[in-house]
Amino acid sequence: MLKVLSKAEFDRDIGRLDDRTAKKFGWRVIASTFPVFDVVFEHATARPIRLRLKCEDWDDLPPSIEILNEDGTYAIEAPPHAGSVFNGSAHPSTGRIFVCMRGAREFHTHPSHLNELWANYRGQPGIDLLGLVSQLWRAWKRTVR
Amino acid sequence: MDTQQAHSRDTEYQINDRVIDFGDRKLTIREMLTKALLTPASEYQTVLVRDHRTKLLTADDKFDLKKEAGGFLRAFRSDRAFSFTVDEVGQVWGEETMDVDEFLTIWAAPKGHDWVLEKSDEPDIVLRAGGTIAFGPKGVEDIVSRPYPNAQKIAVTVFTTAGTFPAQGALRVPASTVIAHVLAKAAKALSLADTSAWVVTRDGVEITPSQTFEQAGLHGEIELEWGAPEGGGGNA
Repeated sequence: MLKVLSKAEFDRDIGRLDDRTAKKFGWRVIASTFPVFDVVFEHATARPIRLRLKCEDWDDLPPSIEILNEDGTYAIEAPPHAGSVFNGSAHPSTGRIFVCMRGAREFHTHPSHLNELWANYRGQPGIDLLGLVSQLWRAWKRTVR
Repeated sequence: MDTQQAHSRDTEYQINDRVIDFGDRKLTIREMLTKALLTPASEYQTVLVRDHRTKLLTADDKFDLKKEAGGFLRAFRSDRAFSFTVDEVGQVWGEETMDVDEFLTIWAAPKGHDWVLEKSDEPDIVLRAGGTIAFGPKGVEDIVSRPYPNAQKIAVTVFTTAGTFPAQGALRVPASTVIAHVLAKAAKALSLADTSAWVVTRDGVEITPSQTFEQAGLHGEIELEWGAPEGGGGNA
């Protein structure tokens, strides 16, 4: 995909995030310059989680999503009771815990989901970059309430 | 935007977020804008804010800094001004939108009251910090203070990643309102094409949209999240 087109799609999606929305969700944005959207989900009492979306070729390809500790180091454990979205096993390609949800590159490249093509989800309402982040926030939120 | 900054000398005055020493007590607005590097002055709409009143000034207007002490100027690169009322007093702003935070620094709501946008055929919208007021063709005309509602009414805001409804703050509706009705208004306002598969949550907890707010146990100030459900996983 042409970089300029991918950047335009990225900027359109990320540009929708305003201060009010970020504050409501408790999102602290670390970086939002193409191709990286790096965000911390904050919580009054629970340990924060940080996600780094690497969006090269968005939206021809879904973002690669790294699960990090707040300081930017790779997390080695999925959030407790996180269900199936935050998968605590090693991804065959990265060797790290990963996001197992449609819309994450690691999901679509996992041997268990090779038949679930990104093309079937791409462009659907709510499957934009912030939509994916809000879905991960909701999944995480269930674990730390 | 910060509130008015203290300026001690007769030759100092605040424009936007800067206090500038103009070296003179009486100037034209053009001279003041030029000194503030807001040029060319003719391309700006300049509004004096003082004593909870706003007044549109032209570039040729003469301005006495001592006489207008206690106020500040807001200059906008804009080709038109927008009129509205606050508790039936005429006001003006130099651009199409205004942050609610800035509105509240100029017009603090009377104790026990909210600022409300009233429309005859629509639920009231309550201004809330973080929101944005629009003065365009379909925007705000009249803002009035109203006492806090009784327990039979709730104030609801719907957050989506495509925008927030209402942009200005919160919608004030009876607690007997079906949640889906508010979501439908949000979808229309935010031009959301297909939300049939979306889920609505409050602080991450899923809510049944066919219920009323009362039935869902929702009272007071309510912030809803609305978006596509997470999908996939479980087999990897």
